[in-house]
Amino acid sequence: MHPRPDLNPTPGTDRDPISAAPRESKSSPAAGAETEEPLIALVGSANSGKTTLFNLLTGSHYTTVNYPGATVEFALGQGKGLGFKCRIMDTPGLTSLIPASLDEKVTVDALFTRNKPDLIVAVVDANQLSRHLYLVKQLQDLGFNLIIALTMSDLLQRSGRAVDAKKLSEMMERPVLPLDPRRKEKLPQIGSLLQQTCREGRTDAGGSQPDETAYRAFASAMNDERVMQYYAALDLVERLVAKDAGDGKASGKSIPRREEQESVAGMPGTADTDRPVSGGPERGDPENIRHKESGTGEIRSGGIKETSGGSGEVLPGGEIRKDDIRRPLHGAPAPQAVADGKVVFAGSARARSDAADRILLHPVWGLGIFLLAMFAIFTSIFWLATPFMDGIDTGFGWAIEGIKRLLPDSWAADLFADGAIGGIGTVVVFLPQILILFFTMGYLEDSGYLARGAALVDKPLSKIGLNGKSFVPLLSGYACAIPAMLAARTIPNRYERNLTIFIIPLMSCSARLPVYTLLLAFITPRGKPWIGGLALTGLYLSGLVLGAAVSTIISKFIRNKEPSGFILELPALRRPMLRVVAISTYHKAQQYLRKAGLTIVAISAGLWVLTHTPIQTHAPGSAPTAAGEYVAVSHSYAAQLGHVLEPVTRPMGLDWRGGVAMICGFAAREVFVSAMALMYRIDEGGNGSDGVADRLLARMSEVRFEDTGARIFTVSTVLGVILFFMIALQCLSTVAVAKVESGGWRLAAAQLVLFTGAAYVLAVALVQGLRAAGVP
Amino acid sequence: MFLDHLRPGQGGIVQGIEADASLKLHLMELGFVAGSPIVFLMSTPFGDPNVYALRGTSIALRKSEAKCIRVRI
Repeated sequence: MHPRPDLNPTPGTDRDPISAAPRESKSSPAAGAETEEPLIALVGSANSGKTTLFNLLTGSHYTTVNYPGATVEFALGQGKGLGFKCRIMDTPGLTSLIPASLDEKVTVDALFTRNKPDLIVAVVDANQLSRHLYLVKQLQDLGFNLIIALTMSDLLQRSGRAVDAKKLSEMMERPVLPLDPRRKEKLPQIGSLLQQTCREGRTDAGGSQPDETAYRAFASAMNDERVMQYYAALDLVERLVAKDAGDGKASGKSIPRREEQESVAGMPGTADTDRPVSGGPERGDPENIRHKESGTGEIRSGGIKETSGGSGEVLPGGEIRKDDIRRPLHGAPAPQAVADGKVVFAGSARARSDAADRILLHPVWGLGIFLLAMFAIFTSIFWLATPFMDGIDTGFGWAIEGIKRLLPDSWAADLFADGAIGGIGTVVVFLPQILILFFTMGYLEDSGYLARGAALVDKPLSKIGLNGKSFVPLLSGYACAIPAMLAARTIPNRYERNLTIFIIPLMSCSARLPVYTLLLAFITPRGKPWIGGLALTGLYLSGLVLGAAVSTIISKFIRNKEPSGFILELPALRRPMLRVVAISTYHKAQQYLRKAGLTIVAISAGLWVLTHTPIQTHAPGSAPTAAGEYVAVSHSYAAQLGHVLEPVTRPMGLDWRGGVAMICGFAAREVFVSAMALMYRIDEGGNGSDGVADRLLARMSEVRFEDTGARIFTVSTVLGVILFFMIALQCLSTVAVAKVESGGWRLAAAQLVLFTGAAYVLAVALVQGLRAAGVP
Repeated sequence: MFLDHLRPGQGGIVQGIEADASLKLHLMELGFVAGSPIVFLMSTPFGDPNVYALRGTSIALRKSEAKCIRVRI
């Protein structure tokens, strides 16, 4: 029903009604509206080099909702320098069209429903051809218009091997685009190939796009035998397209050529399966069988074209013993000889990565490096960022003063300076911390280390009801709970996924950073930032310990009924590409600023109005002209709200002003800081040239309860507030995402009520307990 | 014998998978098909999962999964 688009379609033949339908009926891809710009999707396994190619094709200009460790959302960009207009979409890693986890399901769904691409660029790592071509075969059999991008050839060349791209193209019957990162890529050439292939795939050119019906038929026909057939065919391709790298130093051995049939018969792969390659897979849909033989006498085997008498390059000829294992083509960590359990690794493309793994996964070193890496990330957030943060803070202090001096003295100027600019300042001030967190996580991800981390912690995590695959979501939780919950989709087991989602809000997300930074600065001695750094690391660890405790308790009471497992590919370790990491860090930071910035500016401005109104002596509508004429905070609307809340906040040690700031923290935690600045009117005191944070700290040390005259911010109060922020679920967007990701209100409601309730009770207990113990 | 019986550094050839249908299909799609050479590369600090070399990449598997994969040395 969905013939594979032929490169040279013969008009009038094999056109079905669907493919002959006018183009307008085609469901429009992504970004809405009928648009003539074709959509090109990059599809492939994780770590196949998709993102590098994506950056190349889009000139690194794209919009994304990705966060480190969570490539669950799509990145969409405009093709750049390709010579034609197109949109390019990066997709999360995919191994097979039969999804094994939720994140794969999302990608598969997108290909068939939401974002039907005009062309798929299937990204294939030359070092693991058969595994990556597996997905290509599936896409091809479904009828997608695709080209193959061959990556990582440089790595393969280290083992003296190469892939014959021309031959690969012949056998797969699709264009192959070899990418060599060391060569300056010829974008216009790539562009014209993409454009041409796009055009050929259009419905009016004889192409068609598989729909959900085709997919369902495909998925239900998928079985073990089919997989065997695919791999039998792909093993053949892998063998036939392999060649020695052309640099002479190659393997040092001449590789004897053999007759094709002989080599096939000699291979354990085919011998064991007892299945002739020519009996390749059949399509689930009989009509789907390749509709047209090109008549050159080629034999088809499951869509793989075998050229008869092809130059089959096989393993070092005379050396084949009965028990020799096949030399995997490019065979990364492949043994050259297996004898008495001893394996010699040499000249393999992954030899270096394997050597590194022996250290990274070593019982002692591996654990040490892991702990050191985690410690380094979290402490650098504080130490590395502090000077930048001080600079930004001071800068905003000056900006606010400057604006007030420049603009005529009016309520609008004050709203703009204190409300808007001050609000922005409280967001921007912890941008350095966000950047460091995103960058280090992106760096670890790109290096391939995160997968090692997941494998390393699998066993301990499985003891508390989680999974090694919970590692990346939990780590992402330190940046933001929302992408972290999306990252949890990679956990196949539903119970483990939900438990991970449940404890993610306990990880100290970046929105808590400014709160912690402010409060810790208040109770730790000045001039000794390392104490604050240690305290912050302690807070981060506490979140983890608390999460582990909650997980342990829950797993004791609610059992995991589904079978648990851990299957994870460890990509070859590599030196991360700083450019790529930097670009993605930039995008994430930009997105963060946009999202947090809007909320914070809106709330800051709103709160400014609430704390400065009602206007006392003026008629409604007219505004006071000088700052001195504002209503006192104690008579403002905000105060009326605060007084209602005071009975609740007082036991925690906060007066009504702190209570209002606390409530504002429920819109977004970081708003607490700017709300504090407004509620305690830092504009009324302090030295104007100080930064916002400095003035706020100064103000915090002097404000007193209106009734008792006691100081509000004492060690016990501050510790109580910190504890509250550590545990409480104050982020409403997180609640919404938890509901969607867990598939119901139960988990999200439990989180909201339990965490916030426990936070309040524990904070009150801590404050009262400390006071009873004589702590101020 | 099964994959979990290999010693570190030891290699073998996958013979088949004895697991429930969905795990079996998933493993096969990842490349654990009969005839594939496989090597037990190394274990991890806590002894589980183990890392295996297969078809040009490394894959970490729990022992409970390795136990389902029949291999010939």
